[in-house]
Amino acid sequence: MGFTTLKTFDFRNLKNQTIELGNTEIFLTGENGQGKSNFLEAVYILSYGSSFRTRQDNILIQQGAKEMTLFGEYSGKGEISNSVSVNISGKGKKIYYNGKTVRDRKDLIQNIPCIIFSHEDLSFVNGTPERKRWFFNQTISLYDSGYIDSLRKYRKILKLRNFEVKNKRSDLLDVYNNQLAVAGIEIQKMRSRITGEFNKTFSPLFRKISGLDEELIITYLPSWKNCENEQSAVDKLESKREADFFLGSTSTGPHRDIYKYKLSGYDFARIASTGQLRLISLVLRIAQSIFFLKKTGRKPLLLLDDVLLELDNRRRMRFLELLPEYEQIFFTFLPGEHFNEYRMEDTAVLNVTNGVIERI
Amino acid sequence: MTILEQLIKGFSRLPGVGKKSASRIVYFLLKADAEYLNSLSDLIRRLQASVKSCTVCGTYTESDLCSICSDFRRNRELICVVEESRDVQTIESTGEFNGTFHVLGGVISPLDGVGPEDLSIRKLLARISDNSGEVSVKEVIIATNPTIEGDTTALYLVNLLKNSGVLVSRLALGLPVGGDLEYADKLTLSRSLRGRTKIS
Ligand SMILES: [Zn+2]
Repeated sequence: MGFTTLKTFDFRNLKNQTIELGNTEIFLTGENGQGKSNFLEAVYILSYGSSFRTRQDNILIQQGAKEMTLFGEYSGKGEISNSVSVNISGKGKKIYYNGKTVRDRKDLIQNIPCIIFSHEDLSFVNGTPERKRWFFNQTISLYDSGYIDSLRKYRKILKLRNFEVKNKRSDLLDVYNNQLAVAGIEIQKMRSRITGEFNKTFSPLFRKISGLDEELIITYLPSWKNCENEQSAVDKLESKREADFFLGSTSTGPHRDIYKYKLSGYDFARIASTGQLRLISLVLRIAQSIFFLKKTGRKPLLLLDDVLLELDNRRRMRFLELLPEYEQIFFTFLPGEHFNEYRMEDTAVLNVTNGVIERI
Repeated sequence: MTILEQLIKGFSRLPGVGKKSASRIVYFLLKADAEYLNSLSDLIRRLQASVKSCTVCGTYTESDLCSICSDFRRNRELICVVEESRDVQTIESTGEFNGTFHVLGGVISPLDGVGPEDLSIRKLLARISDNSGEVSVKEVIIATNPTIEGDTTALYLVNLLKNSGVLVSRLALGLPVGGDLEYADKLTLSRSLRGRTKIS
């Protein structure tokens, strides 16, 4: 089912209102800047406890207001209704699930799995290594909260090691090398295994949508190359000791891992057209949704922020045919678009004008 | 500020006590009988002067030597290293351990400004290398919490003791990761005391 009701209070440019959802497909139409993306952002925040557009929570609060609140009623298929709310004020962020405080966002993500397709996804293909790692981290974190713990642990040890290196102290370095190796190898093994599994979903799908003959393969290149176990990672860290002291930071490890998209051995992101890059980013999200379904047996909520706009009609149709199974889906359209062509059995169309959302 | 307000503010600084509980405590004290109040305030006044650290192991005690260090039936060949004094109570409550303790007084946490030199590590090394008595230390069990800082401290000690000739083992296996010794139930603790793994 997905979200049945959503209430917004002093959130971005949206007027305070209660929006009845309840349909499987929700089309949002309206000119740019009226609040379509803000509405998708609201759904996303209720699912993740944070925004996909900004890390600064205070800019989510409407100008002139002191706090904002989002409230949603959500139910999975055949489940009773659950409530979730997110409040952001000068005091910080409070998240409630069925009236109980959520202390760790990772507990929320398990409840309302949500995947967004947006412009920024292009950076998963041609962006910084950090953005590429972010995508695959999210893919795993969506179903494995143990991986979130591993990442947090690794980042904390990395911070400690960097602190020692920056202050040119070596008495604790052996210990931190050891701890970083243990935490890092765990992440590396997970990434390596999941990349292989993910390709089984991703590559055939990309071939189908792109019409290319060769398979596009995601290649994972760990920074600790050829390190099969903790000891070899410790040796690697040890061998870079001088360089790390010089740089004042840790130069090797999973925080430097690289992902590449290879077509017949070539780095495809370097030679692909903008259209092809876009397509890869779309297929990444579709594959992420399918992968989540395979791993958990649960359908995610899908948010499509203007992505259809960028595809020509032929690709658009193909994309819609290959859409993964979902609990609920939200599309945004510009007023001129023939969204009626895409209507499905249970579609609601909402008009967004000047922060007001109305059913039409 | 009134006495009432000052006391509420004072109590809300206590660990685990919020403003609401603090005001409940203060209103309770307001109605409590005089004898109880007198003995309570007397105890609080005498607390820091009377309770000190054991000169050998660092556990809180009211004499120079704690009850464990002064007990001749305890196995002095065995030292269990813990973070805080309260961890001694936790392990004692299992009744499974017959050795002695050593309280570090914290964990290595450089970001909080705590380095190895800020912990009672030199004293531990001195206890281990001391051959003047009748018994010498043969085994050290490291029972720091299974947190990142607890692990750091344990690994640091393992490295230090590598060539000391004593057997070193790590407790807290089977304890929930990130959990504190304090919250471990007795059964888990007893089991990990018996099943400790030797590191060197
Ligand atoms: Zn003692």
